[in-house]
Amino acid sequence: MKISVRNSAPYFPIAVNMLETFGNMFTDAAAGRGNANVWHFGSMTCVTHKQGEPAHRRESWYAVSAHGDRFITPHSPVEGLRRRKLSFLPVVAQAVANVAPAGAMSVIPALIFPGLVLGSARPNLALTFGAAMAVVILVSFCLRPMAKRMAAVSGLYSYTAKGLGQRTAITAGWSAIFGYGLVAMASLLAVGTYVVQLLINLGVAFADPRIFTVLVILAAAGAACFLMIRGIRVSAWSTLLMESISIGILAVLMIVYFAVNPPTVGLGSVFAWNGDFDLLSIGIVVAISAFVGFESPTTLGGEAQKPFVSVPRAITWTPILAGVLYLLAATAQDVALKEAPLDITGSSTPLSDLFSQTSPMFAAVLDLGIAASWFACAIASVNALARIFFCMGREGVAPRTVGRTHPAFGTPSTAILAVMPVVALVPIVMVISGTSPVQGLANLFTLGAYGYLGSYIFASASMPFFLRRIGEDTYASWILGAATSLALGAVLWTAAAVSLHTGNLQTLIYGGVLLASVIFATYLRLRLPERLASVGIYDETRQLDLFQGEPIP
Amino acid sequence: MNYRYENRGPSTTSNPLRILEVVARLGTGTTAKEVSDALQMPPATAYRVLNALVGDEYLARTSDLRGFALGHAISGLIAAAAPPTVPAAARAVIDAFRSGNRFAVHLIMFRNAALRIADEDPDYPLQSASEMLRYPHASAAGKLMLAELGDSASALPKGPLMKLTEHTIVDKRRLEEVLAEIRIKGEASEINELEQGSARLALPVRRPNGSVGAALCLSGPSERFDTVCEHAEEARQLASGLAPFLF
Repeated sequence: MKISVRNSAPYFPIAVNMLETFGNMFTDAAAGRGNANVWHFGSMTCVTHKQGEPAHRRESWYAVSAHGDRFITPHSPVEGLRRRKLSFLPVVAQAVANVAPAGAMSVIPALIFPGLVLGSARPNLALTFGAAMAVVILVSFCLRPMAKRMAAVSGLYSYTAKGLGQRTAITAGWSAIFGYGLVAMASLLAVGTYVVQLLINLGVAFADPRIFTVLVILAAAGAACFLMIRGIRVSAWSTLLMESISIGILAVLMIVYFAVNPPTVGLGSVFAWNGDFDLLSIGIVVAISAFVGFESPTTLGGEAQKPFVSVPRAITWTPILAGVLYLLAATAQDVALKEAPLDITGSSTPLSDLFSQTSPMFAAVLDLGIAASWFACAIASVNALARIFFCMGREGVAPRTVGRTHPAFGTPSTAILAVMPVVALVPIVMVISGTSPVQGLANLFTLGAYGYLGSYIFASASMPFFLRRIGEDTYASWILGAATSLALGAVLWTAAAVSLHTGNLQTLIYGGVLLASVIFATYLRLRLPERLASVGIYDETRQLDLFQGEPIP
Repeated sequence: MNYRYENRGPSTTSNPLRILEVVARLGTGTTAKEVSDALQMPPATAYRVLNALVGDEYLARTSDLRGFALGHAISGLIAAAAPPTVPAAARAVIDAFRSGNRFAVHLIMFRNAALRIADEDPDYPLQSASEMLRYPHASAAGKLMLAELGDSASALPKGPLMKLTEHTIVDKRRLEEVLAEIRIKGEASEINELEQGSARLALPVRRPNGSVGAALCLSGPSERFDTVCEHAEEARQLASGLAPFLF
């Protein structure tokens, strides 16, 4: 029997051991100590098997079937995650939190306003959000058939691997990681900004709010890290709680605000159409970025209780729910901000500035709600990111160590610990370097949106190929796949054109990421084809999922 | 067998069941195309129903995602519906016991908190068999099973206990007392409770782990129940002899 060197501890770099120790610090003394000798190294579990035979040690992780050469594989390639334990609500929470409707509701319109000069020719908010919602729903229709057929742990990355192939999947995966990563960074920056704003509204004076912002970001990153490693259930339920609090606060405040200050502007002007298609198309790009993240439950296929029901349901309903909330909020804000002084519409936190006109207490509560929403968004984004990264580690197209899971909590702890410092560092550097929060948020979100859009295009285009590969394609799937990827392509093209036109580097940065991923995929193709071939692992059916042949006594 | 779609009529309720039947017949790895061909069902319908069945885990997709296999959720249906099988060796032992006695000897198995008739006495068939299966509180074997379950309420139908004869125990507190007694004695008896004029004695057949998995049921007319009970020790030995054949 071959024994992999990977099983012997001395071969792990010291840094990894340190990471592991750090991860284990979260293990409280009692929890999981009983099975402290059970170590999950990838798909290998170093314990003796039930029958008493010596532990079966696989030489490498990538040998596990992404090829589907057997009907039922004895070992799941994503073994080590806590399987099929997450009920429906936390799965939806993952999607809702990643979309962060409460946060996006209050920030995105603000991003549309200053970005496109105010005045007569600003895009119609309701129409913009309506069109964006339509595009996003098309995407969710493309993802649904795949989510119903495959319990993906790495979301759109593995869908693309089964559809357009493994090399394209590398690009889609990098694109998705880029998107999740930047949105997580932006979320942490938003948490810092809004918590400081909250304290300012409460009357706390800061000599230099930047230091405090950095501390808040660090604390938020630490807390998020703890929750994520502690378990997917803990982190998903806490995001659900945060998100409900923030949506509740926002809804109540909006109602109270309008009760106190009845609008004098007719509602008709909100829906007025100014006939400018250019502005509309740019607005749609920004509005779509308010929906991104709805697909993140596709990374919970292994952990959700009934993944083939809950994941498709979550990705179908989240954009609809978020869209309705946005349409309401956009309309309300349009009315509210129309009467507001110009300096408020140009602010980075327009809503809370608006409310602080009425009462600073109001504004503080609102800031709390929005900060909670962004905190949840940071958790959800990194949860999704870490699972993609984890799968890449298992497949061998990322460092192998990130393919390890926490022995007690069943989370991709190494991947989370590897990702989180980077995610926290960027906003901290931005704060210290004195970037204005509004500019920083706008840049991070837009860049992140590129990443998401890119992965959506790949995944939507993959759908009919995925279905054909398993012999279940229909005419409708080809039409839907083509229409959606064309619509998304048009959106991305518009964004890129505007970005290039205004001399913005965003398109170039994202283009650079894509190019790097293509080069990496080509390198894999030429040098490590067996690793590339293993791309596309997912939570495969196991023996215990099948009818056992004998009735339960 | 005819699996033609038209003959049975397209029906949303029966489609899933027919698809399950096809997958069970063709075995692990049956593809969606094969299912739709076998049932002459439109492919889109077949895909939709298959995905719904996979969602509820009645079916599972194989690793290549093309094929299907029966999922674990179906074991409930199969376990509940399939009659228990009794090995020939066990039958022979029971038949030997039957031939020496002038009362009925039945073997009744417990499955998912319900009774299943495993081997019925051919000479003295079970009277009111359906009632016995439906109302475990009224029969000896049923009470033995209820005593074995920690939570007897889960095995009983909701609402008040059914009064089959005037002797049937309908008071839940009284039933709990009787069950406690059964747990101590390790046997259950019933006179005129299920059916006027008949009485039964149920003896446990134990699994290797000690839990009761079946009941050996001796049954005779109420007035001759004492004679039946005289054979209890003999029957108890038979029950422990049967266990290795059954479990």
